Amino acid sequence: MKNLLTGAATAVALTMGANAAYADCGEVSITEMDWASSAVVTAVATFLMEQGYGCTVQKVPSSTVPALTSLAETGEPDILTEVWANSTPAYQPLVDSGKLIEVANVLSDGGVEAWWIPAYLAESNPELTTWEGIMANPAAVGGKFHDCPSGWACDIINNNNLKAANIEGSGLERFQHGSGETLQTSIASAFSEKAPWFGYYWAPTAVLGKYPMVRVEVPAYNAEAHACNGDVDCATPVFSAYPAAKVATAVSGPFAKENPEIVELLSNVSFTNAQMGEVLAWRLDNNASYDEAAVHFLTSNPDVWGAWLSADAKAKLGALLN
Amino acid sequence: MAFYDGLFSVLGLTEWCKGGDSAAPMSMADLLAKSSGKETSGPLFPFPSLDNLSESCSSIIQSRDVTKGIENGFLAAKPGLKAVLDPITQPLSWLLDGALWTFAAVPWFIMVPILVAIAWYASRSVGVTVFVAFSIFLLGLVDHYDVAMQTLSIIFVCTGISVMLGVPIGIAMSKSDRLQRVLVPVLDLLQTLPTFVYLIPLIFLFSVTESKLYGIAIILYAIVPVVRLTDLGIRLVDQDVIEAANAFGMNSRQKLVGVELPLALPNIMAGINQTIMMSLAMVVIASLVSAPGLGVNVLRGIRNLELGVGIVAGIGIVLLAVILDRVSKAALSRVDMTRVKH
Amino acid sequence: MAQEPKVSLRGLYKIFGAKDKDVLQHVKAGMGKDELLAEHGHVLGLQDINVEMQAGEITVVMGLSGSGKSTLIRHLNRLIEPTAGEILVDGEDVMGLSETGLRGLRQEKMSMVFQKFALLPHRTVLQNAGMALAVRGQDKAACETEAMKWLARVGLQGFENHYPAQLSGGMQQRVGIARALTANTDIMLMDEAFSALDPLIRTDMQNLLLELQEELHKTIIFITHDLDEALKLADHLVILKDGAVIQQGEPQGILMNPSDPYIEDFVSDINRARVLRVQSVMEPLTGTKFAGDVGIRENLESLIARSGGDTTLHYRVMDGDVAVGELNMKDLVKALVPRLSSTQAD
Repeated sequence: MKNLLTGAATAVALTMGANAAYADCGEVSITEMDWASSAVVTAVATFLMEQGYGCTVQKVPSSTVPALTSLAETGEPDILTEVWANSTPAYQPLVDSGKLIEVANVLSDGGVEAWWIPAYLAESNPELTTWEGIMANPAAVGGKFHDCPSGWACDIINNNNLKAANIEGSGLERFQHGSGETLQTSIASAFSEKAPWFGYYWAPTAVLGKYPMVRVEVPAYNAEAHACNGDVDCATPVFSAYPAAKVATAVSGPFAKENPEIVELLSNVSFTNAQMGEVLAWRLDNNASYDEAAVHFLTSNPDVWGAWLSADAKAKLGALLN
Repeated sequence: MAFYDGLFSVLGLTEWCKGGDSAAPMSMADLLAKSSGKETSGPLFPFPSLDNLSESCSSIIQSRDVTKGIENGFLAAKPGLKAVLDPITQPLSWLLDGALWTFAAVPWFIMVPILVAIAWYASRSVGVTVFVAFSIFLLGLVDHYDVAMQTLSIIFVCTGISVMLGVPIGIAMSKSDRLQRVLVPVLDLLQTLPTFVYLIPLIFLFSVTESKLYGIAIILYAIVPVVRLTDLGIRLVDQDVIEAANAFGMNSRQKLVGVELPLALPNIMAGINQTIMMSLAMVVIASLVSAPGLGVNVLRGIRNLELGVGIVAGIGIVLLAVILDRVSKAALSRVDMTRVKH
Repeated sequence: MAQEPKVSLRGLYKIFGAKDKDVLQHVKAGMGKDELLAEHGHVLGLQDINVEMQAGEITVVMGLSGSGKSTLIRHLNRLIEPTAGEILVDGEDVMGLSETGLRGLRQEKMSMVFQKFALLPHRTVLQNAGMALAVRGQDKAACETEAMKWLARVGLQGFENHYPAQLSGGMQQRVGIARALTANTDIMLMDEAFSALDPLIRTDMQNLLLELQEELHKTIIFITHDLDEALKLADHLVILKDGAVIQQGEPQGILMNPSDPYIEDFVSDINRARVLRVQSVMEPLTGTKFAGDVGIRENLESLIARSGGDTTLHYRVMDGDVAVGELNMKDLVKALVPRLSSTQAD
């Protein structure tokens, strides 16, 4: 009798405990940034949290700076996906102060920021794969350097690099795009007529996933020089390549304390550039939505994401893992 | 079993349906179903949309094929369109580049007096002229002179072209009911279609590095008021006066120049005033497609959450708007002979 | 000696509607205005108008609202196109004119004065008056000289540089008249030209018109709904009702012999003593004793005053220096009562 009672009590406690684990998850808010790779990450993470951990997930469309500011001031949203740490001066202070907890490098290879020319151009004019080659014949790349919009960190960095490389009067002109959309479209447009193109872009993105581009060789990465280049008042810029960019998932301090299971999951969620590039290119080719791209990833890589889950979650999602 | 399976078997189309390409990507709903082992429970009676129908019959295209088709159609038409449109719009690039260069090259101590003189000549009002001078100095004080001049030059060129094209179109519309019926939906489209929707494809036609891209963006939006109000103004001219003009044997040109345009002038000037305002409204969107000027500062402020930068640039745009509004309204009341005070 | 009429309307029809030429046959068969509207949705504007307007005369077309008088006058310069019929000006069919020919007609042969003045509000009085000449392509100096002359003639000297909005209604209409006169055309069309003016000004303008006509002998076609005005101005009076001509002829004749109950009603209210003239009531000269001489154009009222109410008197009627008839006061008194009494007398 006593055993029965103890057994019953334990069972109740266990059940309650299990329920408590789910009840702890409750409502979660996660950002959905306005670029492709981030949207895929959000879609995958949302699915896993909802189906594996029983959360009610609210997706918050946003972009980097507003999301960071909101989190710093109000503690919402709970999870920030794909913060490109190098490009966001506001990020490090928040981590240092404990308001933000960095939990993973969601892009494990790091983001690639570089200067590119189209593959067809590199093939026909191999000398253009180096900076010297381009400076010797700027007209061959179209005479223009396509730069990122005002307000992006790369705007300042590229500007300083170009100053250091002294392009004044060389025949190469810096053209600043008004928005990321026009930068991306200029690449698509160049490819549609095999026209020359030269400028800044980053991976993993749909564009670099779909259109084969070749990196232009520039002077190697120099940490000091790059740090100065990030400052608009850098006195003597020195030409330096970009480092591999840290792209992190971050959560708010209070959320981390209350939801260790979710934090555990998120610290595991990570994509290589190859994986992300493949998903993004697949999405473009099939004219699919971000949800469908996430489904594609989930159905093609059960081993990969299976390893991210806790035992309970694995059990719940067993049907898909087999 | 999708909802519309029954429909196709009733229609005897099952064989034909099987012939289709059923490689649609798996949807989230399907994945959820697979995961929980339950049948997807969709709505009770789903709308007969292309996607829902193609679930039952893979020969029916999906909506995504429609969008892809439009895209392919555009890309196929592109070389032809480009060959025609590029040369026609080249003068716009020259004008914009020329204006930007001029406004930048002329030093401020020559430029500002010229602008103030134009304001005086147009408005003949001390209040307006003083306000114009004061605003320009204010903008210069906060180191926004250069960007303000860039925006101003773009507005001048785009408004000038809008008026030069828009007034004749409005006149033509006022003479032909049929033309009006055709053009009014086009004008509605230009005012409501989100600019980015047609701008991004335009980048395929013209290089984004050409200034005509944002010139076209501004003109297509801003030309609408002057066209509408010219049409309206001419149609609203007192029919008794037109009858008298006819009775005394005026031909169409004499009527247009001697009677209709002068009497429609208040409405036409209102249209020009609105065109200027709408050009300024487009400044930020133009900067999204690489136009220089105050819009760039606004965007920077938005992107970096530098609130002050954005607000100051925004106020700069407002100041320019108010200057141009006051000057054009003052010029209007001078020109409008029908309101001679007595 | 019947001379060619200056303007001639023959078999003129106007139906308003999309299929006017198709429904014309119904109208010719006798369908009326109400029936046409109900069955075919078309409005009958003018029915079988046959009017001749002689050169140098004032022809007044009179009728109530909806009678078609405004429509009629606008056919003369083809501001409105007829459904059927001929419009002859100086023997030439206006319908056969090309665009250029029509403009030439409007510039050279016809001018028009409008009820609501229709001046160009953005031009000065002088420019408005000179408009017709400017349209023809004459240079500014020539237009201005001619315009000043006619403005002075209508009494607007000194107002040349005013704008229409600064003038009163009467003055604006004088500009309208000056404009028509400056055009120097043979034919002047006047569409209810004085209807928008107050009664005293209206009288002034009517007198001005008669004065000008004495000098210029233009062919004037004048529209009005006012019977008194019509009787004062008309050499030839045309009465319209529902788009058809009810009676036309010499005004005095219509007064004495109305052909239609409608017209009888129409004329019943007027002051016959003031309007009727001696010439309408006089008899041929038989040479009896006369109490005095009266002018042929004097109205009966002045004669009643002169006779002191004595109905036994006879007067000799003089046209200038020539004796043309005699007038018995008894006839005069009988004429004061509308036709019914004259039939009884017969």
